[in-house]
Amino acid sequence: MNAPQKSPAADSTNDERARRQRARNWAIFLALAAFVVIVYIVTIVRMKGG
Amino acid sequence: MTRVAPPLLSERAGLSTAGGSIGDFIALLKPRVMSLVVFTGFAGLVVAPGDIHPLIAAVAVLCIAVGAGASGAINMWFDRDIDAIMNRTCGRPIPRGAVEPDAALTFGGVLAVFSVMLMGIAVNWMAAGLLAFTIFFYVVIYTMWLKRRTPQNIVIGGAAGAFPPMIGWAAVTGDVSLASISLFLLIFMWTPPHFWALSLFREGDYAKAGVPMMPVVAGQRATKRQMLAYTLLLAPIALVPAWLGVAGWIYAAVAIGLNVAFIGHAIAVLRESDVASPAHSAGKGGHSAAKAMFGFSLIYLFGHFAALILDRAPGLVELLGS
Repeated sequence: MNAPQKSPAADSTNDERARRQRARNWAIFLALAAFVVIVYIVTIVRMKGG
Repeated sequence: MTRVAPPLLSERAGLSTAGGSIGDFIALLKPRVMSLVVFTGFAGLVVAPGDIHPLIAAVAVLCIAVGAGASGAINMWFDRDIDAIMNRTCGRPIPRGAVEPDAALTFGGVLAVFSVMLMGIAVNWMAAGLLAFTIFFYVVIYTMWLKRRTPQNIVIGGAAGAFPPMIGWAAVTGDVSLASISLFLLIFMWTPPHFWALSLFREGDYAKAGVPMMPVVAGQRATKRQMLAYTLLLAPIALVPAWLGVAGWIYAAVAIGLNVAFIGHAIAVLRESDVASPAHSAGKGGHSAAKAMFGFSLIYLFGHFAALILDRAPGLVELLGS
């Protein structure tokens, strides 16, 4: 007996879910990286300003 | 033997099961509201006395933008039940099924904390405190407490939208002054006629969702009278920044013109016949004066803050005077 087969619609939904999850992960990574860069630059600016 | 799995309920209902896209999360931030908040916050920063490093100023504006967006996301999480009912809001990411409510709340909460912390670390803690209070006021005082309880919801809740120029000002000076409060009052007094103009032609939407906006509770005539009263009170308040020396003659001239026109719009709204059935309020005609006033109200606010910035543009006043 074969295992239950997923419908093409379910496959495409899974692909779409994975694609959106990747996009969200990249967005979170870029936001965190931007936060670190901003804090770093702000620290330099404030140190120079005394 | 093969078996095809049935489609998910959400698929049959036409809902996305793929989670929100980046665009859906950006929509949670209410970008159009954010643009006005950023502009007024920037104006407060420009007119404040004192110097600020351009990079610190940019970070302050970023924090105001992200804080405003965070408030919008938490507002959409809390209001998801009534957003699904109203025509104006049923296409938002949560009622559309594109973003899970918990994801929207987490998103808004994280952004709120990050924006306040960054403002405190990079700019100063007075600006950060004002930003935190603004987010609290919009989410808790307006969205959770007032919005569904009283027709004065947007009168008191309007304070949340009025804080950004004070935050911008505090980013430069580190304090709150009479001058920055005058900028707050300008937006605070502008909010009721702006929102009531919208609620006149969206009355059916608000009634359907059970939100006690002024036209729903007190009727159209009483709302129109109050709109005129607020525009009359707003006119002298709009001139206070010039009187306090925060702004110059460019601002004063623009403010006089805009306030005369705004009062004209309020009179036109008062003279317009009331619409018998709120069925018209879903945007299918009627209330043309209210629609015109709503559109003008955006120009009104933009015009005042643009004039404030222009007044401080280096060399412009001398150029116009020569």
